[in-house]
Amino acid sequence: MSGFGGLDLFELFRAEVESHGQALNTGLLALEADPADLSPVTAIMRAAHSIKGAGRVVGMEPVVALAHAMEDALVRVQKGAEPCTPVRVQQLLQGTDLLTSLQTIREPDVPVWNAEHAAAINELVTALSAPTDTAPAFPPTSRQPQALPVVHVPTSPGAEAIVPAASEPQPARPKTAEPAGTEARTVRVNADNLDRMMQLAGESMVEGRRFPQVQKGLRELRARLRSLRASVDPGAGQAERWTDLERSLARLTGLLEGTFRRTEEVSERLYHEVVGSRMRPFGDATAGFPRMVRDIARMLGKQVRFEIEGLQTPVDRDILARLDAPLNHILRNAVDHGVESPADRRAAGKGESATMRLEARHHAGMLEIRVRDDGRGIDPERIRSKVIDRRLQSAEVAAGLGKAELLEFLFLPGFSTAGAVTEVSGRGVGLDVVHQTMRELGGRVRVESEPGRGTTFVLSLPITLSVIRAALVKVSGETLAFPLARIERIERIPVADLLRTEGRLAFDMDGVSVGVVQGAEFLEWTGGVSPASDHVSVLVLGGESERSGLLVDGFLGERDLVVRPLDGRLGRVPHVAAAAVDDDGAPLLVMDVEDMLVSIRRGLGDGRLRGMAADAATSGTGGRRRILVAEDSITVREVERQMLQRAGYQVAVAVDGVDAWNQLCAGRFDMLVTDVDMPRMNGIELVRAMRRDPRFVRMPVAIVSYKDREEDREAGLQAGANAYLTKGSFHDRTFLNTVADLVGEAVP
Amino acid sequence: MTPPARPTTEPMIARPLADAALDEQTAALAAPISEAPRAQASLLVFRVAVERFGLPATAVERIFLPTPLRRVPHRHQPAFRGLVAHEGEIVLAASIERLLDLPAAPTPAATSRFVMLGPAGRGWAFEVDEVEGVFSVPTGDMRPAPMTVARGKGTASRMLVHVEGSDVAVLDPEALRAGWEAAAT
Repeated sequence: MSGFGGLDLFELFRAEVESHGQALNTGLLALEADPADLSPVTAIMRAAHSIKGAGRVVGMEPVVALAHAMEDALVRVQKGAEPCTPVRVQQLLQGTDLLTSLQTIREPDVPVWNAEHAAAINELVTALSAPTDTAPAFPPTSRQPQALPVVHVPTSPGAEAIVPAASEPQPARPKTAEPAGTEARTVRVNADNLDRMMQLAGESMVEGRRFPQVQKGLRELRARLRSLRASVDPGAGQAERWTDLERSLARLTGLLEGTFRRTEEVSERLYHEVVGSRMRPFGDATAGFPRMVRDIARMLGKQVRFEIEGLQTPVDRDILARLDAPLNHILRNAVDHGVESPADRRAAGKGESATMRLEARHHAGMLEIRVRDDGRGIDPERIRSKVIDRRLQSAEVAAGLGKAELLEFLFLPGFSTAGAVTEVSGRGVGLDVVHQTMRELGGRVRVESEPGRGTTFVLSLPITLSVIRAALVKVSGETLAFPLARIERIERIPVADLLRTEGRLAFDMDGVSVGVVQGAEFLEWTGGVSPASDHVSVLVLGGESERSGLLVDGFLGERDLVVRPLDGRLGRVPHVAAAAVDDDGAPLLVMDVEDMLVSIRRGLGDGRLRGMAADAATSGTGGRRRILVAEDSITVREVERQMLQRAGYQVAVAVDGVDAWNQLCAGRFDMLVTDVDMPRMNGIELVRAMRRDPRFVRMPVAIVSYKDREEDREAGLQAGANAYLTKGSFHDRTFLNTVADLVGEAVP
Repeated sequence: MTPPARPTTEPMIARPLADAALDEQTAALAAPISEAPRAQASLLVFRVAVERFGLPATAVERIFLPTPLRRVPHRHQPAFRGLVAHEGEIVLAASIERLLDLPAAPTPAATSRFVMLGPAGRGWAFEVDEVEGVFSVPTGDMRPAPMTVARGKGTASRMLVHVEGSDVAVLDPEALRAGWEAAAT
């Protein structure tokens, strides 16, 4: 079916299903919210009709039949031949679900899809053709509530309409193939093309900045001509020609200046336009959410009014693409755990219908997304007891944890306060994925909650991944760029305020001691002299939960930089995220603050800084066996470290697979204990890498994971681990016994 | 370097040939290709301190004026220098004197240039004291470099050739790329 003018027909079909499926969903939800208002029907009909046409082109008869039956039912509703009943809308939504499920299948899988769905389609086609009073109802679940739950499409005055297609009646033009409700004309552009355009636009802006130099040169030239004329004193007749020359030069200079100025303006506008073309409205990512919230609420017998605000907020397309999973998860959680049943809400003195809001806006140079519900909120005491129950912290430590600290535990892998695992959420996976995704995108997530009054998840993200606002600093004579989003502040402090304790540096920031490392030493650079001064510049990296200071030579200003990947031939360079070109055309390195924090934490944690006393790592072990613990959860890592240390082992810790690998290569270890789910390089990849390397082929490896399914265990052992334990093994001696079996007792 | 002498073709057009002359012409035209002009190689010749080097001109992507160079942290091999940017493109910068273990490094001067070894997108820029130009040399004039040079540590010179008064060491682009790539990772 492929090969139509270079386009894959099936690909086009899927694109049509995707856009018309969204129109179907938004239209039907609007119809359900207000069955008396039939204005959305036209748009829904058009969408069904377009899918029918597309289905015919690719020869998918079941799709044609279903879309046809949906269209027919809609025609009857529109003509007033039958009422718009909840049952009918539900059938149409089910039809939409069947159609949109085609978005994800590949062409070779079509026969399988047909076979799997034939019965459901036939049944639905029959139901859609029958009058609604006799048609069999299709309950989505066995728990369908009696009263239809309310899912309001926005009614609050501030909220933007989430159903643009439905809010303005569309003229009936059933033959057009345009998706309903498209406000702006869009085309699909190759992403590489766009990236190259951005590089070139950036380059033309840099070129434009060379103009002042040329201008200065021209001015000097004119001044020199003037003084030359004064000194040579040309004879009669010559003076006029000389003046003519000077005038011509002045005129040309003026012309050139005008041209340069306009070119500069155009380059800058071009650049911003190209950067803007990477942006998509936030609404592009939210089309499926009202439907999902409605369905879950309905399944659970809850009433939810769901509002979305900031649909037009521009978001980088790369970020938008990755927002779906985290938002999906937070919304599910909110409906399932946050929102109470109508009865509970009544008892709590609230309205039966809960309100959930999804908001996106630009705030302080960041994209801020909030998901707020007015449900039961999160009780910090429940988290506290869970922390103690799960032995993540001792009772004493847990007792001292503040509310914000307790809420942080929600993002630990496997941590769930849900009483029971439900179909919708509460499996204890998910929030850690949200956390992880935010970290990968250079953003943060936090929770705010008032018990009894509701919960808000706040996601802050960079507005774009391809242009970053960065601080330029000098380290050891080199200029480096640090993304502003990951810098807390830049401090200039008196040298006397730097505290030295046991060879480490620290300074006091608002009453909190922040560890400081020397930038040049940290990056293993020599040369470049810090000016002798009684003050030093400290770049404070990270955020509330984790901060480190970097001593730098000076701060050069802020820039917007177009980020480019680092040359692949360099391999992975520690602490460097990307490259860019500065205003003056010189290359710049964009630093990976996350990675720097990891190294600094480790350097300070081990009581050494990289490059300062690297030998200390291997000396003074007293002949005890050395174990490396790789684990991204700080609580689990601490548990493992302390258990092993108490048993007499020498322990070093790594916060993820890459960190572990670097340490394995750098130091001497007798054994590795690793988690599976870790950022950057997971445990399985780490073990595989070790088994391929002659240095580590025989090193004992124990995997300790939350995952306790048989296939997880097999995957771990197949990768080359010697043992696979679950985190339950901490409760008895299984963990320590296994370690002793594999590597021997602590002191050989 | 003069091409082999051939009878001029003018008489053929102007008047009928004598049989002997025709035979001679035929023989000349039928002569094997090996007697055609000798194969030439285009060499970009440049100077680093006092030594002269040549690179096949086809392997050189471009030549540009010295531009600010930035170091890369945690990369300490002396043959790798860092990054330079030319016309918005970020290029890895390397040191030829450290790779070849030359006794002296280029000193900044008006004649200093960066030579960029291709291919584009995977180029290497290195600094030289002077680019002398592109010279055409008969490949037959190239002679193997003395064992001590060809086998020396990190040496990429395989051949020597006489250009404009003295010997030029012809470098192997592949050896340079390999050496620098090893230094950069």
